[in-house]
Amino acid sequence: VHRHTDMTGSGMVVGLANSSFELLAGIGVFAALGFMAQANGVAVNEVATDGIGLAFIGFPTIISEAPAGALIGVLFFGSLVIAGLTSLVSVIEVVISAVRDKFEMSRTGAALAVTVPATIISLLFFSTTSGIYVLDIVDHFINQFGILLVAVVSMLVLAWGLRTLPLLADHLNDGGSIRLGLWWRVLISVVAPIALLYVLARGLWTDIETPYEGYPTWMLAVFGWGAAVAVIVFGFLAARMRWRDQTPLTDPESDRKEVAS
Amino acid sequence: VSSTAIVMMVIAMLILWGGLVVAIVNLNRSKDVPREEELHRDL
Repeated sequence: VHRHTDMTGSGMVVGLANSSFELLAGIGVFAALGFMAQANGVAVNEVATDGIGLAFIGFPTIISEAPAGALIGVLFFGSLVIAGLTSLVSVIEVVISAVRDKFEMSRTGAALAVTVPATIISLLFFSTTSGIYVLDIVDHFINQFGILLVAVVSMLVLAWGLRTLPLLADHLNDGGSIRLGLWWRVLISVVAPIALLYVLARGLWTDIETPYEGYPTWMLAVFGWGAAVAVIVFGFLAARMRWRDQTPLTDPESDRKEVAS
Repeated sequence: VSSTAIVMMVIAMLILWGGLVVAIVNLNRSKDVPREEELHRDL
């Protein structure tokens, strides 16, 4: 991505494409689940499970009922593999990019420094017979209290702590086809944090009240709460590390303006 | 059959799918090429 890429236009396409396909998938999934519930004479919430249950129990049942089920099954799980790989790339790339920026490493070096430990940890925890449960727990807690929390905290820090939203908007508007004005600042500083905090608080409350999926407490404590806390602690430790001397920490745009003036 | 649900579904479809089409058209129109001096250090 070069400096004057149309980030707002691209962002709009990404966001809407994601939601569009989710709506389409939602219609498909609920139609199929409704059919299953009807056929078995049970309520929809008894056949509907989320994530892993849906992909490996719900969908195979539906697909095996469909005509040319074997073909659809291959296509479905083939798509799932590709979806997994692309998600892996997009998720791990964020970490690689952060490591690269912090330590001024080469692309290959940073990629190895991130993927090798990640592979070892994944093989150790997720390849055993209890791996699917560990995966389910880690997935739930990291999504709930890792990614969501980071999103809320970064929005609050940028909007109310550092107060850099106008600067960020300027960066995005430079080359952006959709102008970010007051509406965007209100969205990032007030609306989105409130909505996410609500989701976060509700999730936290549910997970405190009832053990997630009825897993044993020690498992939830170690792989769930433990993973969520470990990520936060790691974040603080990594942030405390000194930047390399050659890393430019100033805003390139403001430098350019200073030179120009 | 709930008519409110159907109306909500149609509105969601119009906003999301219509929005996607508009966003793609908009992005295609604003297509730009990187200037020489902006090539990222990755390249």
